[in-house]
Parts: sequence; structure tokens; C-alpha cells
Amino acid sequence: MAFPATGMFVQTWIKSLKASSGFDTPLNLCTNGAFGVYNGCSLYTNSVTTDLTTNVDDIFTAGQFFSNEISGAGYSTTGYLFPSQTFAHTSGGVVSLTSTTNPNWTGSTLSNVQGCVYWCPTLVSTVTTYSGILAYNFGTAVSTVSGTLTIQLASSTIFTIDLIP
Amino acid sequence: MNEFQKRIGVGETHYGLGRTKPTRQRIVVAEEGLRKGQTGVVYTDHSDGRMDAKVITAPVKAFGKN
Repeated sequence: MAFPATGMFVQTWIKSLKASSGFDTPLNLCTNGAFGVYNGCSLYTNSVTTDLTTNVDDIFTAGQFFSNEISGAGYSTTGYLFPSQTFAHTSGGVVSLTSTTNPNWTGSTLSNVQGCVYWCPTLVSTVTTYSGILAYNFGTAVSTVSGTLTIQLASSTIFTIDLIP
Repeated sequence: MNEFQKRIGVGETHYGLGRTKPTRQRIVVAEEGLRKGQTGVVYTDHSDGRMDAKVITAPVKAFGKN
């Protein structure tokens, strides 16, 4: 297998939406700076082997994403931290997670970047954890040389949920 | 050829300083995923050797068909 097809982390969403979830608090999709940690976007190689149906509570502690996060000049573990995000109804029953800034890494030299994970912090047994929300497959390996890698969000939108399809 | 022509080097190789284009862009099409067959990455190659990459993404529709 390789970096999974673009999709949501199933167990994370089940935990968040169920009354008796594995999280002490809901996903902090719209609360930046919770527990002193912002929501973020991290980068991965194509060596990730998971289909997103089973995932660990913390993608920076164990599992396939932990093992295959990229490294290189201009990139730090956990990746880009969003200064702000908005999770709100936009129109027609569609709820969107948006950001006014695009994830970017300046002065970077990176190679074989196949995709990214959007994550947010939550609490599991009172311990801050980093839960994967969405894995996005770029569709091609990406590289930079002492340059800027930018993930251009379409209409500032990371994902949408159509609650009135 | 007259003296003036000889003096200015008519017929000889001349080297001039010119301004080259500082950057060029190239597009890589996505081979898979939500933007398969569409622009996946726009690279900017700089004359000093730097290379930028802009990944073009689509908003993901959770709980629906993308």
C-alpha cells in the first residue's frame, strides 16, 4: 500500500460524534490554541500503509503516519500550525472547515512528499493528543529546493460536510 | 572591410550582457486522487537554483461523493 486515498480518519470521527467517545473533549476544529496547541497540517511520504479505518489516537506518537512523516530543511515535526480556522455553516446545510492562510514551508528542501494530514488536538485520559482529521493525497510526489512548499486551499476550504444533501 | 569596420569588430563574435528570465513555471498533472488529470503541482524554478512548489488542492466533501 501507499499513502491512502484522500479521506477522513474514521475512528477519530466516530469518537468525536459518539456520546461515549474515546475523547475527553470534542475535536477542537474551531478552537485554536486549546491546551496550548494549534490545529495543524503535517507532511508524509508515500510509504504510509493505512486505509484510515483504523488509526491511533495520536499520529505523532505511534502508527504509520508517525513512522512516515517527512523530514528535511525547513520542516519541523507536526508541520504547519494554523493561526486560525473556522468551522461553521456556509450555505445550504454545508458546514466547512476553512483557513485564511495556506499551509506553507519556506526555505525548505523536501522530497517525495505524497500527502498531508490535517490534525487537531484533543484530550484522551487528560493527555493532549494529536488526532488526524483528514488525510489528503496530492496525487503526485512533491519536492522543493531551498524554496517554499505551499498547499493552495481551494476557496480557503479544507473540507465540507453536507448535512442536508 | 574599412578601418572603421575593423575597429568595431565587424564579423567577429560579440558577447553581450542580457537579462535572462529569472523564473519559469512548470505544471505537473496529478496522477491520482481528487485532482487526477488536472494540475497537481505548479513548480517555480528560479535561476539561482531554488525550486518552489504549490500544491493545488480540492475541498474534500466528507460524508458525500467527491
